[in-house]
Amino acid sequence: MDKKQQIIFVDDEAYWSRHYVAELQKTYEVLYHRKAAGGLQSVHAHPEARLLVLDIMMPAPEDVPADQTENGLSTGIWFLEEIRKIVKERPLPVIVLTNRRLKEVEGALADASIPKGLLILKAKIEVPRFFLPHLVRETIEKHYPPKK
Amino acid sequence: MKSLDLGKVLKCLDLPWGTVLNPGEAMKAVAAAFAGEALAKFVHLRLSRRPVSVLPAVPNWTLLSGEFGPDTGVKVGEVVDALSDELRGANGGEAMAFRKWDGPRSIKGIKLGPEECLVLFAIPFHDWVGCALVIRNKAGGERDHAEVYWAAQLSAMLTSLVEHFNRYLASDLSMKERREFYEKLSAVAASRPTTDIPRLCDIWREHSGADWVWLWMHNDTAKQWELVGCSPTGAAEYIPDSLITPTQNCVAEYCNRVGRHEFIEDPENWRAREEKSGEEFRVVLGRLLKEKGCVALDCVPLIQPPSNAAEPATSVPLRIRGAVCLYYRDVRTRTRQPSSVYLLMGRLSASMITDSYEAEQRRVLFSLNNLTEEHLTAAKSRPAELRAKYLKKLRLLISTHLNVKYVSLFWKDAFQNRLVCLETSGLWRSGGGQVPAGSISEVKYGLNEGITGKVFASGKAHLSQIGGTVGHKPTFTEIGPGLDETKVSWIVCPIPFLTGGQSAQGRGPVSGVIRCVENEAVISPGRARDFDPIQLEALSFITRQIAPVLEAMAANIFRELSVSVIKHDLFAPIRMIKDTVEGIERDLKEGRKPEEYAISDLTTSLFMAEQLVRQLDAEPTNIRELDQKPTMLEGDIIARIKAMLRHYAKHEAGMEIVFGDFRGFPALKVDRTLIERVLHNLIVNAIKYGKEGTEIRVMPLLKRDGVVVAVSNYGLGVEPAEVPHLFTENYRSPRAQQRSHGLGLGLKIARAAMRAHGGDLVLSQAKEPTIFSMIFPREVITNQ
Repeated sequence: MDKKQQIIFVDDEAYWSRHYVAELQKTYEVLYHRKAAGGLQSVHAHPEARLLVLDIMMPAPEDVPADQTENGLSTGIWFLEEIRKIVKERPLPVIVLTNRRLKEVEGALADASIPKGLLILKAKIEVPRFFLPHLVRETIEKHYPPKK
Repeated sequence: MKSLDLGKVLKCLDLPWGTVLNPGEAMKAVAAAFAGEALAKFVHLRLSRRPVSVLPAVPNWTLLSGEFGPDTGVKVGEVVDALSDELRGANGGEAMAFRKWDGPRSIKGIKLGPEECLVLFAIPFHDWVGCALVIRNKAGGERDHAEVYWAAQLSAMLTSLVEHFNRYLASDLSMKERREFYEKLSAVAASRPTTDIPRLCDIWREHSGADWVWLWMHNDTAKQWELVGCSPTGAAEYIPDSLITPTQNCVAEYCNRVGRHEFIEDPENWRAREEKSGEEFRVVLGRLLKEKGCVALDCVPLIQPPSNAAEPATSVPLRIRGAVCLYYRDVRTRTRQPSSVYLLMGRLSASMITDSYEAEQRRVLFSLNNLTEEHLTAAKSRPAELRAKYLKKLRLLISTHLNVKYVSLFWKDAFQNRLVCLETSGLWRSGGGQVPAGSISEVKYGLNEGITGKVFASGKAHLSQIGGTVGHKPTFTEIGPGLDETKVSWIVCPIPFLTGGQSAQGRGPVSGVIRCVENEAVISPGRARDFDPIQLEALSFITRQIAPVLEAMAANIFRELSVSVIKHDLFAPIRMIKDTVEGIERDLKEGRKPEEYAISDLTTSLFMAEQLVRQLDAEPTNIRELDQKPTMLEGDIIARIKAMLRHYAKHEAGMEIVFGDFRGFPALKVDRTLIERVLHNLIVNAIKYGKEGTEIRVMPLLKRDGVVVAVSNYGLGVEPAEVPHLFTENYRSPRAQQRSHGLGLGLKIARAAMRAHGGDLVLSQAKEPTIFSMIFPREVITNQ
């Protein structure tokens, strides 16, 4: 069997996201990060990663001024702005999972100007743990079609 | 003792209230009533004035008991005059002088009996000095201090009559002239007071024949007298910049205080007095006036008319303290108006200023109401956008009504004791570029930081005068790089905190600050000027009006924020419950035993959800009743906490929770649910703000005066600056905000729960490790 595909998962609430991670680990190699800074490093360090799962409301890295992330309210948006180029070039599709109101996040995401095809926005409450692996597989296959 | 009844007096005259009175007639009636009431054998009332007799219609002596004429007692008249002078000289006309007469025992045929005496009063009121001469029949009246009592009564009555006298005096002015003065004033009153005071000065000049007219007003914020208008326009140039503001004891202050018109015909003497005062301003002023050939000076106080009882509740009276100074090069040009006419003109001018101030208030109120209405009806659809619009309109409104160009509005941060800029006409970093419109909320002032922070902390308005900012380096200014900061005047006015009551919540009396800056482009008679007293009044009027609206807005924003934070946080446990239930269903369907941690996940999620929802209570820190039952810490609380949180700590941050030995502990009579919540809160905080992979310890300690449960962790710790705010409602330190979101209520609720038990929750150690101690008093220990 082939080596497992790599995906990066960034979410500060480890306890609440561990079911997601556990389900994903059955199929993928999950690089899990509780902190935005670590996640960012991971994105740079792993060009082979096929997908990024990202939370929005997270503590901002210490060296980032609080206002850039609205005091952590939109750290995910800041994160995406930092990796905009990588997302487009590699490409690295992103699934944004959040508990924030989707409408608010949508507006902010538009500012980050990530091409639509590369970005999926979902409310966590609507994504059961068993469903996430399907969503991830579909998204990866869209950008990296499996060789036949 | 009975009191004198003005109504009775007027009835004697058979005139309805409000009729124009002839002072001579009125004084007769007062004296008659006084004689009757005070059981005096006879009463003389004498009206005198300074410096020249003003009332041709009033005989110097008012005949009462039929026996006395103007020639009656020269000696008595002298005593009365001396007494009046003593009164003026000694105490500025504010008190009453009183003396027993030991002169001749007989005056023009009326003899004093052995039981009778003669009493003299001198009673000040405005520019009138009424002197009463009374012979009291001692046998009939009270002996002790009765005279003082009657004098006070008489004084009060005369003061009430002044209104009527003034109307009478006004009829002394020729009809044409009066109409002219009124018409001119009302034309001025129709426009704004701040711009038309110079016009008012022009009118004064036309009517007095003065060469220069200066209008002084007392600035209560700066605590000094300021020149707010003059005529002709160039006259203010006579006064050097640094000397524009005389302090106390100037003529204006004096006239205003005693409420009297002052005519100084002897400027040499006056100047000598000024020089003696040693006040630089007055010395220079005196010298300047001499150079200009000033030979005489009139100073007329601007006394406010008594306010109408039927004032609307929203109106805030303007407290005018002002005076008009009229300077003459040649005393012959002076219109020889009686003193009372000058006073009347002063009063009319004061009315004009207050009237236009009140009209302005009504205009402000009208605009504010419209704005509020518009804001409230539309607020439901897209609140954030509308708020920004409202604030912008509010700023423009202040700008228009105060006639200032630069305005900024600051409001208290929801979670910290600092001000955040809400709206501004533009802000520049001192020595740097403009703050972009999108990031004005980055402009913040901590408590006592700069002058703005000081106003926020003290609640007292601050006025900075032109040239007054030298040496002060503001962090942010409303003035762009092209303007000279030393040539601006600015005012920082607090917005009072209305709904909170006292500072129990760690808030000051202030919920925001409005900052207005005026530059030298704003010209009052030919020169840059500071904010005048009327502008200051108007600004504080506006702050009082908008305070409730802004507070409601802040409360709304906070509520929205609370709901969104709680909602966000609730999704996590709800999803966990959903996922776990789904997992159990799958397992059961496929014949597997459900995973072991499923139950623990469910309990943790439910408990967390409950904790969150409680934060939305209207008064989460108000604990009404306690359900106290004997509780074993180990069995009833710790066991449950262990089951819920060990698992959570491990997965959330790789942390271990170590519990001390609770087994040997006595049962405590406590509210189980509340105490469990406190402990839960402390441990969850220890996880949230702790370092990954460290240990959290929960240790019990049995002491002579109670039980202590200490929760310690290694991590963020508490900085000294954060300690005083730790238990403050809605306070969140910037570092805590970075780490996690919340409402800043947890510790406050926890402390309230401990205090409801007669115990407390304290921070025992700030860091390495951070220790919070739950203290249970001895009384809750049961003897089982």
